Amino acid sequence: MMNSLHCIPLRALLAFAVLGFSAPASAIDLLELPAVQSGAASRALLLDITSLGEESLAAVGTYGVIIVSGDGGSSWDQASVPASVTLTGVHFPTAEKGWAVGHDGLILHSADGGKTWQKQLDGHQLNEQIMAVAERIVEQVRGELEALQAQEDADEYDVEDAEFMLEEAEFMLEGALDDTSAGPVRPLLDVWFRNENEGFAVGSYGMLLHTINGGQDWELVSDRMDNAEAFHLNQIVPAPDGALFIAGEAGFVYRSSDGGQTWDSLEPGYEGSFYGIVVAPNGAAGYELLAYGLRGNLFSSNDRGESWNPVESGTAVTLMSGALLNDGTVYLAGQGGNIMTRPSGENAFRAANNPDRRPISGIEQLATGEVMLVGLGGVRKTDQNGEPLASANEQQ
Amino acid sequence: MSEHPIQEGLKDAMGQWDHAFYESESFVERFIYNNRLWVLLAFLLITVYLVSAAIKVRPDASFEKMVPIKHPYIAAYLERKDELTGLGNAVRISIENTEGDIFTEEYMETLRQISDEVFFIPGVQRSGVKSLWTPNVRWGEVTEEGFTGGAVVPDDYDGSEASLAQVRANIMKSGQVGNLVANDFRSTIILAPLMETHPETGEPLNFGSISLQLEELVRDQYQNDKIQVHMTGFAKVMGDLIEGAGQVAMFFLIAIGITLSLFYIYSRCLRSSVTVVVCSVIAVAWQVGLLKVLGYGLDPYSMLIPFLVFAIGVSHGVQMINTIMHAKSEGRDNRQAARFAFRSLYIPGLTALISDGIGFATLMVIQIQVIHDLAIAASVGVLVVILTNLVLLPVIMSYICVSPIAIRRMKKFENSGAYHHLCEFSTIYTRPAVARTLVILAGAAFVFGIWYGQDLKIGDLDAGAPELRADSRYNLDNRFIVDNYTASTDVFVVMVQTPDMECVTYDAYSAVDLFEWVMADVPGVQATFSLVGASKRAIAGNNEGSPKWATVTRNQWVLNGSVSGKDMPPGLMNAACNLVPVLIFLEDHKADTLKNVTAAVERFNEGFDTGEIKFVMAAGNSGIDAATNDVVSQAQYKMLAWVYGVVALLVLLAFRSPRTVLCIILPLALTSVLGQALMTYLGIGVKVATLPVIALGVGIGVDYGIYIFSRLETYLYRGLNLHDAYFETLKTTGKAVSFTGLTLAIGVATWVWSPIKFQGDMGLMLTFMFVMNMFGALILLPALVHFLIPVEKYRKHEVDADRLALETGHKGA
Repeated sequence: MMNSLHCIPLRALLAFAVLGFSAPASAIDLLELPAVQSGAASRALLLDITSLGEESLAAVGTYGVIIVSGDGGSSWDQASVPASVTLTGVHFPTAEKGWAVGHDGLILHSADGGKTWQKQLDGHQLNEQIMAVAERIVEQVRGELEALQAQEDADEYDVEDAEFMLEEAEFMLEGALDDTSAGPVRPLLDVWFRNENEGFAVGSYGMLLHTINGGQDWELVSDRMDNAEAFHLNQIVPAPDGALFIAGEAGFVYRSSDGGQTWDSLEPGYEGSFYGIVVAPNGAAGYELLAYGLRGNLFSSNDRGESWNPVESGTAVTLMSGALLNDGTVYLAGQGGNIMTRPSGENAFRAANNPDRRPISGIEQLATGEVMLVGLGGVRKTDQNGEPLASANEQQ
Repeated sequence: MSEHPIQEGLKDAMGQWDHAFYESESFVERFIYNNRLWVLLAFLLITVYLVSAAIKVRPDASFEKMVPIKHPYIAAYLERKDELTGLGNAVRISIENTEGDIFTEEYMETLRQISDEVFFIPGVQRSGVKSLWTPNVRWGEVTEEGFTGGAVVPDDYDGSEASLAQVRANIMKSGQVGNLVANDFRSTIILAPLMETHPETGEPLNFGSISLQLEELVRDQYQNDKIQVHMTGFAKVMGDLIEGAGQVAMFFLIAIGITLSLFYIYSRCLRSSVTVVVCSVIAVAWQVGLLKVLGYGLDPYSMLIPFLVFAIGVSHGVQMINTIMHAKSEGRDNRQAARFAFRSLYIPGLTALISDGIGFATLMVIQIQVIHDLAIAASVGVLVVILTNLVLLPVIMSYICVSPIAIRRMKKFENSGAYHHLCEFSTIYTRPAVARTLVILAGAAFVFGIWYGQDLKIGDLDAGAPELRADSRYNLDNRFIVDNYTASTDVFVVMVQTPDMECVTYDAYSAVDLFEWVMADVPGVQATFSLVGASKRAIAGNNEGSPKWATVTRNQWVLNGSVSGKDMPPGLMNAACNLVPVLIFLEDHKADTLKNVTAAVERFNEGFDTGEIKFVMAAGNSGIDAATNDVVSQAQYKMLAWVYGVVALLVLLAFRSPRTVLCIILPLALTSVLGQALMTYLGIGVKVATLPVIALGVGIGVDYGIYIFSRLETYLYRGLNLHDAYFETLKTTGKAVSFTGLTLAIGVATWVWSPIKFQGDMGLMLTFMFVMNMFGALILLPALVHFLIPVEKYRKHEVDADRLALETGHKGA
């Protein structure tokens, strides 16, 4: 990890040389500036929260803020983080090892329960991979075309098709060049690790990253998906049967039944964005998928995403985050501080009486049953029905 | 009682005086008393002219006069002032429904009417007016197709339940809850930004008239049981100050009444009482008229100077009448008595008044225009008193003179046993044991004052508009808005300067974003607001409202897009795109809070290399407060050094003895130190309003010392011992000094009831200082003389003859 950290300037220079692009270094480069230690960290705009097991929590947000709590959210310590970009997702497959992702293509890793973090990947390296993938596709298509042309009995139409494909690929390469010349601009939006070795990160413009060695190498595998329009991928969640689901922009849901090697595109029948999916138990072996998103839209599937039905969420406000609580309650929250809950065994969602109108973007349940929320204004707590509880933050 | 041995010696002295009377008249004196009618005529003409000027004086209050324009913060602000639009100078009018929430047809209709009234007030920047009814207050939401939005009150609004429900829904999507709409939905705000100049006349906007129009057109017309109006803003503060300052005229009348009655009780002579008061009023009229002629207005700070001029006039008038009465009682005719008084008082009077004037003038070292103006007003006033009460008063008295009954009464009183005993008792301060005790006590009080005064705070300590009282209508309105809305009224603005056309770049954005984050951790900072924050929200909005996208980006296209939407609030950057104001909302404007902020900005500038992006302090009301505090805290000791330096020098010139300087200055220093301790105890901070108080106190306090010491010295020259000399001093001057102290104190004590808090503070402090100075001169001074002045020296006449002439009023001519 330290290794890759040292490589950054060299690699960045290389990338600029390759792209023929050399911007003067910014006076303040948030990707390079270590996060400022701040007493306001637990009041920052926080975007995701995760449990480290027991009473331990970690939450990430703007200005490179990562805060960890060992006492169920009563007190928080700010971690040492080598960058100041907005962090969007965090996940700890074990109590010690965790990963966080964020803007400028940043992936961070901690091996000490979230106290200190190191850079594993950033947008400069990601841009190289984007270019490499685009170039690889061009080469591949050109190879196919040349092979076709070499054949004496080549079908005329096949050759035309191949020529067209090459044009497309070259066009795509140009586009990639344009995009990456703006520098490391693409945000990653969520991260999930199956165990301490294998994990996925998803992000904007259809980015899907995969590692099998704890993040020492991250591979850009966006082309495993059929996402030609490069829609954003907002969240990745596992299902009890080992399937993986990704909630995406423009009403797309993606499913992998083989551990992330291949992905199917599912269309629940809605054109707005899905910000996430709650997987709720349904019967003995089955599960219900609840995809939530823009303007309170909620779609349900009981057959692994094959067919979907719209569900009344009880709100017209965008739902940004969701969680399944220990007792089977589905807990959804979003903009305007709206909290909708559906207790286990019931069909209807009901609105919690929450006077706090600040948007909520992350949910994690504590062992006590209390629910920890993060969003604008930092951390706060509710009970299982979404009724607010005084949190340590407000008591200050 | 005339058997007292000293009296005999005195009579001899008086005989010598008489003998020298006609030989010793100066040119000035001869000129004045040979042309008495012409002098009166000249005074009459000047008075007519200056009164006609004085009645044209209007209260004014301008922003730039109240700030230290040379302070780097203010200089930086004034340089960019025109580009920092939409900062600050707006009026917020909150319309409250006392019987429920705002979603009633009646309320909405009233709001519409008031909104229209405000819109048409000249000086209101109409395009910037915001209320639920203005089309620039919009709601917006992200849908599958992108942004949609509209005016909060829809075009088809008809007051029906359905329409009101629509308004409620739109408000929820407008982001205005806490801003234009109260958190409890029982009131809404009409925001009216003001222009710099009046649109028709082109003159600077008159805040007093704006404030008055708001009162008449909004509060008087619409406020009733159901509708309550709350108004805040700089223009309202100024308007209320001007209005409150107008009430000061009433206090002035009260002060005149009290003085007149006290003077009558003191002198038992109506003629001379009225003459002294009239002369002092003429001094005030001249002072105000001269200010107008010199091009100054009367701001709420210098509005107190007329009181001071009046009080000083009376105090010197007392000395004059006192001397005339004594002269008359010794058998001189009217004209001789007046001339005698003039002759014996114009040197010490001139010394005292000139040291007052110069003492006040030292206030000019403070680079704040209102204090400058106050210094000029006070100096002009003191100079005027020289003419009216040292020249005009005895001339008038030479015609009318004091009534014979009054003189008989005075003689009876001064020869009465009670008065004699009082004076005799007061001489105990010259006894060694008492003097020692007094000096030790004074030393202890001095040390205590210094120790206690260490906690003296700089700046304003109270919430709201500290110029006004906590329970004033303005501050109640302000509290209503603070309680029911989210936005704070204390704003510190940092001006971020970028290269031209580079305010919307990653370099600028990353630096500003980091800066805002650093400031969020500063104690007392509630929130920050800037172009970058608004851009981040717009970027999130362009990404379907997802907060995960609410961040700065290197993508120039995205940045450009984020600032081009019509929901971008105005005033977040300038036209040349090289200036981005960062608004820092504070919990209060206490000096410590402001210091935290300025220190944090300085730390940021030192700690982070932001390249060409410069973070420059400061604008906004709190920025100005911070600069003012800075200037005031530096000026505090500088001013004291100047005042004491100048006064000490003048006293040294007059008495030519450093020991005398100590005798006169030390009681004043004790008063200054105890004054600071009192300010600490009362929770009054050192600010523009209270800073001049100590200088004024010293300037006027030195009079007592000069009068007492010069008289004491006269008797010492005649060979009396300290006890006897002080006894005689008390008998002749002590009464006048006590009376003066009381008159001055009462004149300023009436300010305590002023609706303007800082006038009240000034009044309280000045009352304390005048009384303390009086006691200092009467009690501590003789004790100090006991220790510091080698009395034997006087007996041996080892002092030069000029001094004697000076002190007795005999000019060598």
